[in-house]
Amino acid sequence: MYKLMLLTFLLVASSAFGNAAQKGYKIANEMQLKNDGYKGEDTDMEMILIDAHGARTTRRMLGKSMEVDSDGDRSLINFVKPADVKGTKMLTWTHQKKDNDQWLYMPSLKRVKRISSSNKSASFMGSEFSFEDLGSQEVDKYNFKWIRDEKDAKNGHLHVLERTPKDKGSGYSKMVVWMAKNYNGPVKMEYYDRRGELLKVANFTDYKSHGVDGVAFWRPNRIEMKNIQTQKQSIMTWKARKLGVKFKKRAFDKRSLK
Amino acid sequence: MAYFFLPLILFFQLGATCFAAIDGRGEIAIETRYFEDDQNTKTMDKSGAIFSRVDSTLTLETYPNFEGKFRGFARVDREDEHRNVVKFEDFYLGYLFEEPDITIKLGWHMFNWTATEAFHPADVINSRNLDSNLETPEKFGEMGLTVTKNFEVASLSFFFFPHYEDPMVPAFSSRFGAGYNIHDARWVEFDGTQSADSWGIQGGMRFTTTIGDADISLHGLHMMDRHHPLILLDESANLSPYYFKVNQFGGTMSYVLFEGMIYKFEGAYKDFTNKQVTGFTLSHPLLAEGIQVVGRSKDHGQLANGLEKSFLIFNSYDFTLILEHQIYLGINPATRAGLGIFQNDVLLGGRLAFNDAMGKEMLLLLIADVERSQEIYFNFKYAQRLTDTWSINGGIRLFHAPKKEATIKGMQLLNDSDHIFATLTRFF
Repeated sequence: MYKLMLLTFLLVASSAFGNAAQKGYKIANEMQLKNDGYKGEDTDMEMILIDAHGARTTRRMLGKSMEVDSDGDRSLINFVKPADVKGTKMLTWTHQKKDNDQWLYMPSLKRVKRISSSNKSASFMGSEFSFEDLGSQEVDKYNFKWIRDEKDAKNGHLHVLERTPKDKGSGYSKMVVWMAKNYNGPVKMEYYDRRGELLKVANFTDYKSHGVDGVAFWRPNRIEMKNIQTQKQSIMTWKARKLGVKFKKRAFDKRSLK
Repeated sequence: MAYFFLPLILFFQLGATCFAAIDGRGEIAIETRYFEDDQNTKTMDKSGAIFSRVDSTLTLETYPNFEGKFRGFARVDREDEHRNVVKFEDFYLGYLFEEPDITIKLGWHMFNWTATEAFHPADVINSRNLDSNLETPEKFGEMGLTVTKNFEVASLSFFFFPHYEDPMVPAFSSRFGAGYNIHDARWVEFDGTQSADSWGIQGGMRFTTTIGDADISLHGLHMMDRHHPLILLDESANLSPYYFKVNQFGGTMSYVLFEGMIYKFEGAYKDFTNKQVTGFTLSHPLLAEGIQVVGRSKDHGQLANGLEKSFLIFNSYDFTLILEHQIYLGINPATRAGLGIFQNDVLLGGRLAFNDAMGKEMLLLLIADVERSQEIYFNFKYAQRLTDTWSINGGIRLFHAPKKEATIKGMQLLNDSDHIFATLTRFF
């Protein structure tokens, strides 16, 4: 009798887990599909770094990205501020399953250098954002689990998902994501380090709608990333953003770096 | 100075009158370096210089496929006027023909074909300032025409350079020099004729592509080899650097191996095709042994291999480990020892980036000669931002090298050249 109860419990639990995983993946995949079709994006970003004592420094970047059929997006970030890194550019070809290709252009040497994208948890420009946080978040690179649904007066219906990176090189053991149905994007994310302890919390706010071919795409204009362990904080804001931009492919090849 | 700034003024004037946008960056720096006293009053044990670089790009609203580029630098050293230099790195006009996807650029160009960090067999076009930074010497732009046909993930470029840009060799007063003054360059053509005329035929082609996780390039060049001069007495009994025409075939590769480790390769074969040269009165490793008056350049290969791997440490620091080796092939150890500072050497390096708002970074390099056990080079450098526009770096370079002989070999050139250095830079 005990064995039968245990077996029943395990079956129900695994079925529930399987359902939660399927449901989580389904939600994430649906949201990714709803974000397909933006064609290209042109952005002007500012990042404020705040240390544990409240001192602030500012970074500025110009970015553009484009969708690629049957593969991940391609993006180019041009660093504008501070002055010593002005002209530095980073080209990323994201892929749905394999590691991204990434090149860095160093203007002081006029050198284009292939860099490894495997060190995902490295800091982006000394900020609390890692390269992993800012790269393309392809659904197939994660396992999902639906945790619960919530309602929020400000953001409406939210799906709370647990997202586990398939890549062992990730800096995170898991992420908990509050996905807003209204925006097809996250409003909050908790990042847990490899030891399973809460490392960072990001809040995505100031969502704006951008129309492309009659379809509305929502993008946050502000992301506040707080490191819980160090108390440092970084705030990324978008000064200008345009979706639906048709870039030529050569805008994202290696010559675009020079 | 006027020679340097006149094109710059014209460049900006053109921009101002053509609904243009000019974007760029610049820096002005105070550089100092202090050597250990060599008990030689003719050499400068310290230097203090003002360095400036301007890098700007001109685009026109009405002709978006047009591009103008200006980049150049100048240094004035108050201790040693022989270090003063004003040079273009880039100064060209370019145009992209969209339909065939061909870019044409005319003017001075600075190329960077390197894949490895310290050794650069493939990156040979531009002449260097050999009295500047030892790891990354300043380059001088090469005047010419570049035509590039672009493909989806590849490009094919053709080059024509009609002018031999003279490298800057350290003067007698420099601690990096051989202890004597070097006169103007002499250029030795394929047929063995030599002259001070710095105009001639140089050209080549380069193919670059990306295949999977590999960036690959192949090149063929017909040019003056500016990296292995013979320092010889000319007909006026002056010591002059002799540069030889060479056919060079080579390539580079960067390949992501596994776990983010990057393999890097640079290789080149230099073919001097049995040129007979006359008029020399000193021997040199590049000349056939025992021949003093009539010499022959020796063909040789140059290979550099490297590995690079980055690690995240203490949950926020980025540490990059670098391992590289370079060797000259096709010539015996004694000959290759005379060809340069690093001819059969291993590099072990580490770069620690603190990943903080001030961009703090430490670099540690150790280069040891595999064949010549007495030759070791050590470099430590620290750099950080002071504000959004000011930065500082400083460090120490130590050389364990044998004393200079009559014909300088390997790292002998750097014997007794230990020094500390610091640079304060204002970016604009």
